Amino acid sequence: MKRGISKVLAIAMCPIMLAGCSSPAPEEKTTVTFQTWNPADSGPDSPIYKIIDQFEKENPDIDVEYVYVGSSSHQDQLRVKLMGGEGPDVYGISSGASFDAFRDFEEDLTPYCKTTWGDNFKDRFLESCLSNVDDADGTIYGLPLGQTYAGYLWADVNMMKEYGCDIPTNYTEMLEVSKKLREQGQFPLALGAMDSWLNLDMWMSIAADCDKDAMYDAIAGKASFETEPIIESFKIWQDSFNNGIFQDSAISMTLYNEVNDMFQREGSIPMFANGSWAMNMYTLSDEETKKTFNSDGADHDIFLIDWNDDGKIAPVTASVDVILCMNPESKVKEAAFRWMSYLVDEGQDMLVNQYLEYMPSRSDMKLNVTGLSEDGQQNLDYIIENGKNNVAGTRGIEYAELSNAVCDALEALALGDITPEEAAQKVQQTSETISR
Amino acid sequence: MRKKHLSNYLYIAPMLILFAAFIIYPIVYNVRISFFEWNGISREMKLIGFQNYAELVKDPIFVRILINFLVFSFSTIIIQGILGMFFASLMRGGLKLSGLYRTLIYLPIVATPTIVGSVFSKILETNKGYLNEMLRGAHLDSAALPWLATPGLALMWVIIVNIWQWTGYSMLVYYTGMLNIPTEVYEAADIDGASPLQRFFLVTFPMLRSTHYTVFIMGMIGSLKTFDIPYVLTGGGPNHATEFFSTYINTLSFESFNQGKASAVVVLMLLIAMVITAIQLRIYYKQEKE
Repeated sequence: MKRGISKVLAIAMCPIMLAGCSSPAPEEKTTVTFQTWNPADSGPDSPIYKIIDQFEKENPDIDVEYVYVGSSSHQDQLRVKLMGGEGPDVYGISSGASFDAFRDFEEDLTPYCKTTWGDNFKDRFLESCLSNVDDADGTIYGLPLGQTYAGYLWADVNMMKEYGCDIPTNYTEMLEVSKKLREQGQFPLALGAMDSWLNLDMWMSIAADCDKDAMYDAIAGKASFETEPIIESFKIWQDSFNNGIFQDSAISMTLYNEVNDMFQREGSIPMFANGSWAMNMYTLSDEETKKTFNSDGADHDIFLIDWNDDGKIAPVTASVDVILCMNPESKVKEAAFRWMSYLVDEGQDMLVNQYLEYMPSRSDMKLNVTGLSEDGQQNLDYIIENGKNNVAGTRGIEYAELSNAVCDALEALALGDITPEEAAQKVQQTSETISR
Repeated sequence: MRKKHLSNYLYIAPMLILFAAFIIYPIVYNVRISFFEWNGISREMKLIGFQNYAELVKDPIFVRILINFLVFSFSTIIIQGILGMFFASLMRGGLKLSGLYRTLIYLPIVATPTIVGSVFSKILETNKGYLNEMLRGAHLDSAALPWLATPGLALMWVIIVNIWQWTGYSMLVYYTGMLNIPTEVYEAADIDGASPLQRFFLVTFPMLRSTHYTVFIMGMIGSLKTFDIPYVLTGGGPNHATEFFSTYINTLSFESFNQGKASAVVVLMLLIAMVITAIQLRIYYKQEKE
């Protein structure tokens, strides 16, 4: 009986053992979780899915599990997950205060960068981008995915012509153009001033036009906000509301999706304020945007003006759009970095050259945007030119409380609740209380 | 006897554990971190005693929040209560198609705040909003105001939108209360020759006393928690004119990374809620005695 059972078992074991001999068992895949708000999931055609597919083909041992969370709740969710020990292996974060706040959950990437790209890895990235992802000691805590420039204005050239207006080049011209547009029942320069980040972008460009050193020194705590150039910038900001350069009640309109939709989809307003990232209007696939931006004869200009009428146009500010960070508690760090480096290299090529989501953060990257109209190419050239020669410094204020104080002051100025001098005084008071 | 007691405790143990884990612990944790300087993310927390509270007392935004809370709660409770009672009376009075009206008045409660905020933003936008376009169309240009860009008007609209959304709730509460009033009381009033107005003010209104308390207390607690409509409609602006406890907690916690101060606001909010609840319980027990 026993022998019979043994025979049956031996026969049953044969296929299993033979299977073991025929080929090696399939390698278990490593899963890298990746949470971000950008690159976004805008449907099955989103570039991020193409990048993930390509990466998984080239790295068959890794699966990327992409979790998209909208910008309004990405950081909140991320914070809870990381603190609860359930954070993603790789995540995207915005530069400035957020990047600094999450420091305890950002792996030091310096050794990974050295291993992957060699000791001179810093040369691969633009200096302006690197300063956004390192600390005072030069330790790298994130990889820059795309560069953005803020402070730009956009105009629909054809619509401006219809109203008998040229693209303004300075404050005085902007004032005249705004008046002309208003007289004909049209919006002047549209601003989504309910978004404090946009107000900050605009003000930084104005303040940098007045005196960029005065602005950055004040932010760094090396100088006071109560200086002539800063007060002048607050005055220009307030005058732009009082004199009708911005539309009525700009303070109650958001950029996304109120003002932006009016310019991008409806094509119903002649000018609005938005950054270089709005270049993706040329590559978006929705029919309304396509019609506005890529139909025959469509002509739009991205431009800067001389806010303080001193003969030179305002500079832009620059920042990394998305910083890719690695969770120090990740159990698959090697695979995680492979994904991060791929996204910054091949991924960024696609995001920039096919979709114009950002400007490059890599110094070796060539811009060769496919299918861009002549109009789009001209605007891209303008951004590149200014990116090379007209950047004032870092976009945004890295100290959250100071940033909020400036935003509050800008809002109060817009409403006429305080004078530029009082605004400077209030911001300076906050500036003195923060530890840098 | 002891064993019996022990088994009694065992019966309520699951409830106690859940209560401790989901109510007591978060409250205690919140109170604790209100004494720290903490960005809400890092592992390091710095004990600073009552500094967050001291800052709040001096914070002009917090003072604005307290004023907003009082204005919002009293206007909402009174107007919403009157409207709710009015509609409930109509329904109770046998209005034709009352079922349909009840559903329509209740419908806004089902709508998500994002949709409500978005719809009202389009209605109230200054330049091309439906309300101002309508006013201009009627040659009332001077009445076409910057509704959401003027601090006082923005707060007024937050209150109006909230009332629009929640009147259905007050109506249902009052309607239920009215159903509980015995018909004999109305018959007696009729025999005494009471007019419809007298019937309402001398019979219905006083007999709805417990409903008034409920509507008041629920309104106060609801006002204390107000977040969605101001957040979507005005973002707490312009210049903090529509800032409430919850919107400020959100800003401090998630935008300013000042979790310690945000927790101090939560603690103060909790104290206010406790005072309101204490008043509610006192009234309740007083009624019980009577």
